[in-house]
Formats: sequence, structure tokens, C-alpha cells
Amino acid sequence: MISVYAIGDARRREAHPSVVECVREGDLIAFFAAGRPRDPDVRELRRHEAVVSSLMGDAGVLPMRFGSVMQDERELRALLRARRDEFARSLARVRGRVELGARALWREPALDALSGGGAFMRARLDRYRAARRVADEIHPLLAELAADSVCRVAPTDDAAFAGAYLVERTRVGGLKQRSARLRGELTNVDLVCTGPWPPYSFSGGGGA
Amino acid sequence: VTDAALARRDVTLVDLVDRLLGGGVVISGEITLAVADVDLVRVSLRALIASVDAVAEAGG
Repeated sequence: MISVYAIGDARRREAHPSVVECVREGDLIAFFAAGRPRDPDVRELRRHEAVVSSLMGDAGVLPMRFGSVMQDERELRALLRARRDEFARSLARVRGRVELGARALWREPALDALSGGGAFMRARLDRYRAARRVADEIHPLLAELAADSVCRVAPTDDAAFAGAYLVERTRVGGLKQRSARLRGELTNVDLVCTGPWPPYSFSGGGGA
Repeated sequence: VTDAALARRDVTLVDLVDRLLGGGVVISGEITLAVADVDLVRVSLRALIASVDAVAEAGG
């Protein structure tokens, strides 16, 4: 059993950290480690993420979902062969780019469900509408600096929206600055920008 | 730690959990996901992150 970390462009790859091994197949390279992944606690996720970030380089990689396992190297090589064009297209899309995250947290906590009944349902609907307004206000201003973006309205009870932005490395500072400026202008939410991340939300395997 | 710094650390962890367990390349059939009940893991990790911050706030 092997744990697969990421897929990259073999032509733009030099060194990689010793905790992972690699296989090459044509223009593609895949990074893996022997054995199954550990249970995903916070420490293990941080360790995993540090490895993937170190693999990213300037060219970028396609990160695998945490916990991706295959039988052996032979199976991994077969996957690289079978999906060569698809991986090459995805790599071209993320080349020279990184992902940034933005999350707008409500300053006021949500009405407690225990308060019950119609009042609770109305408050919930009001909050969803307010979340939609916050997303409409913030997301386009960040998305216009990005090559691609994803927006989720009210992803959790404490957040009005969560966005993911695929940006050129040279525009990371610009997007962070704009996020900081918006943060100062917003009164009902606290806007927090995270990253740079490897392109988890833009690798063709579902959004973050 | 200021409230803003606390929120930032908290959000970075939530973003980490969401990305690693909810994003990335998924190829059903050819690659197996070894994490059982990933949604439950996400929810419990989020709850853990929130409670860690609650403890930090109470102590600080």
C-alpha cells in the first residue's frame, strides 16, 4: 500500500523532500510514501500539508485528497499513463499559480436553535440573506484578481462565505492587500485571508 | 494573543481541514480514500479547533 501526495510536471522538477519517493512516467511525476496514512488529526494534516507545499515549487503540483492510497508503484504508473492528458491540462491551469483562501466570520454569533420556532427560522433565513449580501460584496472584488475562483455562501454557521482564489504568484500580495482593505471596511464580519496553499480547490477533484 | 490573531490561526486550521479532506484530486475507482467517514472527521476536527480556541480565550 502507498499513500499518494501529489502529481507534478517531471520536466520542471529537481529535488524533493526525502520523506516522499517519486515515480516518473513521461512528462508526469507522482510523489508517494510507503504505507497507509495516519488518522487525520490536526498534527497529521499539518505534516501532510507541509510536505505538499514543499513539493509545489514554482511550477506547481496537483495535490491529492488526504488519504489517497493505491496498491503499489506499478498501479500509480498506470494511472499516470491512463490520465496523462487530463493531468497535463490540470497542471497547465495551475502552473505559476497558488491558491488563497478568504473566510468572512460573523461578528455576532448565530441565534441559538434552542430559542426555537418561527423566530429561529426567520433569523436563520435573514442570516442566509445577509451572508449572500456579504459574499456578493466581497467575492467579486477578490475574484477579479484571480485566474479562477470558488465561492461558498454560509459554509458553516459561523461564516458568511468562504472563497478560494487561484492567483499568479505575483498577485498574492495584491489580493492579500485588497482583503486587508475590505476587512477594515466591513462591520458585520471579520474577513480573514489564508494561504498561499497548493491548488486544492482547483485540481479537478471537488472544491475546498 | 489578540482576538484577530486568534481568529486568523483558527481560520487557517479550518481552511487546512477543508482543503485536505474536501479538496484535491479524487479519482474514484482508481484511487481509494483510506479515511473512513470523512464528513464526520471534518466536523469533529472543526469542533476540536473551536474548543481549543475557547480554552485559549478562557486562559488568556
